[in-house]
Amino acid sequence: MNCPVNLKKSDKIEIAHGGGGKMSENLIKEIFIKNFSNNILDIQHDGAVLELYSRRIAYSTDSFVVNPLFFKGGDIGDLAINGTVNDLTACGAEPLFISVGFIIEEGFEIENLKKIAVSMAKAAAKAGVSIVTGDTKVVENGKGDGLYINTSGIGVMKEHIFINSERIKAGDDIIITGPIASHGMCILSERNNLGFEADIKSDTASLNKMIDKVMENIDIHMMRDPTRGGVASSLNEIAEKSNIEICLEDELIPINKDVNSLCELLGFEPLCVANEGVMILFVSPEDSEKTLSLLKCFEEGKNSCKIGTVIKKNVAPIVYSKTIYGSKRVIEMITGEQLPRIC
Amino acid sequence: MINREFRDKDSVLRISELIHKKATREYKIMEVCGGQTHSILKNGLNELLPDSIELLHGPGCPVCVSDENKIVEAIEIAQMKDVILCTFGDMIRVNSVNGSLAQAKSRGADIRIVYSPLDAVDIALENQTKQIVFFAIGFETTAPIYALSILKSKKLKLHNFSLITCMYRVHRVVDYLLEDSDFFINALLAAGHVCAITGYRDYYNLATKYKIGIATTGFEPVDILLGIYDCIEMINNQKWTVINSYKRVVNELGNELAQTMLNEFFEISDQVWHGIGNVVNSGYSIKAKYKEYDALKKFSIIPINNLIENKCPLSDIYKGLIKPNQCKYFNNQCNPTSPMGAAMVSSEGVCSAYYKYNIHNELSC
Amino acid sequence: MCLAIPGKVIHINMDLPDLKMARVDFDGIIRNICVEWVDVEEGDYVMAHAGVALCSIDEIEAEKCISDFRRILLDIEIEDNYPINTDAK
Repeated sequence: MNCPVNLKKSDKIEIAHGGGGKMSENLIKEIFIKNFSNNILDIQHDGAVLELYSRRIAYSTDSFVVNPLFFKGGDIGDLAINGTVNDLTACGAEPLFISVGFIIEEGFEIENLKKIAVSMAKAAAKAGVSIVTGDTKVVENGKGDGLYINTSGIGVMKEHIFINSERIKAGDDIIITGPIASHGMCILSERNNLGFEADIKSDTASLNKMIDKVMENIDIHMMRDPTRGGVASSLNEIAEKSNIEICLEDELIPINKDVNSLCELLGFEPLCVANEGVMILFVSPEDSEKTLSLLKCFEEGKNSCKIGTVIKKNVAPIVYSKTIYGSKRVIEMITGEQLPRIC
Repeated sequence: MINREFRDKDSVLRISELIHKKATREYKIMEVCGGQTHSILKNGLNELLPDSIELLHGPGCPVCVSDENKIVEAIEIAQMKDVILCTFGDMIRVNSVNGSLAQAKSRGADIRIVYSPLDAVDIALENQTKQIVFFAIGFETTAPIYALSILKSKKLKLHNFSLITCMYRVHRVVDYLLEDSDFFINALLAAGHVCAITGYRDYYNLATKYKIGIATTGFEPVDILLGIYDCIEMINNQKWTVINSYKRVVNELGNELAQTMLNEFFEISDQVWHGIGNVVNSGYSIKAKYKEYDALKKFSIIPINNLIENKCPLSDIYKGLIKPNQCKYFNNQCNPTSPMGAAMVSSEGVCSAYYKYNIHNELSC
Repeated sequence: MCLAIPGKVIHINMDLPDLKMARVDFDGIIRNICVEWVDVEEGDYVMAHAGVALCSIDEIEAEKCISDFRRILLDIEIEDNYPINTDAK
């Protein structure tokens, strides 16, 4: 195509490549999957499920580059533990062991590192996981953003539990375990450059104990931890993998008032904003009530609710939402990062 | 919040019912503003209207209409030593022959997204060894805010703040589009927030000259439907005038303080619209006596006037000749990941809004 | 275009050397907004765009707008003897 506006394809990494939307997806497909492809990786779940000596093991990794390092409701430390714990949980595993890699910038306050370690220990204790190995590297001043953390985790898959997008059935209810967009909007408001004062707390939390309780009683078909790219990205990925049509209802989607206000001020779609302490569950409609009552026994799940249903299977994948007026809008995956819209 | 009543479900459904009763013929109504397009699609308001009402989406997204040459100039300035270029979020992804500002940022340029041009003046105050340049895109709503940023910079005695201007007059371009004999509408939803600044006196002329109804319209679902209702009443009664359907925000004279400030620093000039071309008197530029705030003059950049050949049929979309999803490139070669035109980049862009909310026609729910 | 959001003025700061600014509450989110062009008091609503109040919001007009269209609906109902549920809210 010789359309001049489109001649320049990016030859360098842009911030949007890390946004969890289409640009990330393309980067992963074109560079990583292309070079590393195997039947485990190609499933592209939150973590990998491996067969080791006839046990099923879940294995997952995640890196944390959040700025600021300390924010309302948490810090990079508990975020790094909870993130990996939740990724393993979403696979249907019991998280057990965590590895931690620190990349620290020269000049970083040791006092802050202590605080972060304490909060990691607390988060690990709460989730019931042990930090069993680690690594520390220091980079020159100006070459890092204070601190980056990578965590990997290993969990054991529960017997008779299969979390897989192929198990989703037409008619399944879609449940979310808490209000959306809190983490992403918390971080945005804590970065001073946009000038908003908000009392928005990150939702960072480990969900394994709560999900465990549900899995003991309910056959969960599919689960996803909607972090970067938000609920919209997770549901679109699932829809694409399992060729389903998903219908949400705007009226049912839980969101805190101030989170919603900040989204409106910046012109953001809350469904595309990152979460760090909610899970999306696909369950049979007859299990819906019971799932909700189990989730609501936990602090992290007290605002759980049904947000939609799977309408059809074996169709062109699509996610849309019914507005409060009864009309429909398509819920797209974001392209890059969401940018404040002003005009 | 004061807007809550204007989102009320029952109110929306009842006005929609009312519109259905009143709509007795075919109507072509253009909503000028991208924010209105966005609200219409996000709330599915198009589904609540009878088929006899056709909504055309106007040129009211500044990110979409901005002259590509200006992006080339902005990139050139952003890449200079000791320059911090500030702008609004969506603007950084728009492509030009030299790529986008996001790409310039990935090559090391200091490009920052701010919420307000006034914040950029604060950045200038904190970084007096650097030159802060604001890529000033926008319509009559935002233009006086750029004037305010110059005023703030003057009051703080700063000499390191300037603007790359790309400011548009929406009233003028609507006039220009209506002059085209290909282009026919019965009524216009005038952009509420532009009118908050300009008032709507000037629109009476357009109404009588082109025999159209004009309703100054807000952005909440009830506002938009009321604007459409008022248009239908005008068309049904063949009354070619202006109705203010957004009274809580707009008055006839507009914000005269803002207008005075705009006129102090800026003058009317010709402007190139992406997808439309050069339109006489359709923009603003910085007056000669304030040239120290004009980044092009400050950095001795020769303005680029290449007319960029572009297959994107944006002007046909603005004129209402085709809808975004009738464009042969839509969702084909042109999508938000690789946009052919800015209307696909900006989240307020009509093509992007279509892509987001309306690409699939058959939903079973 | 021109995303503008209503907010409530909670404090006006008259002592800045440059522009008249106010703290504005946008339903739980606070930001400093320039109120150079509007004549407002604490408690008033403004429509803010890109950090600047474009205008104050006429609350009487807001209420009038809602009651006006309810009246239209009522007129139509009487005219057509067509029952439309009137206790909207």
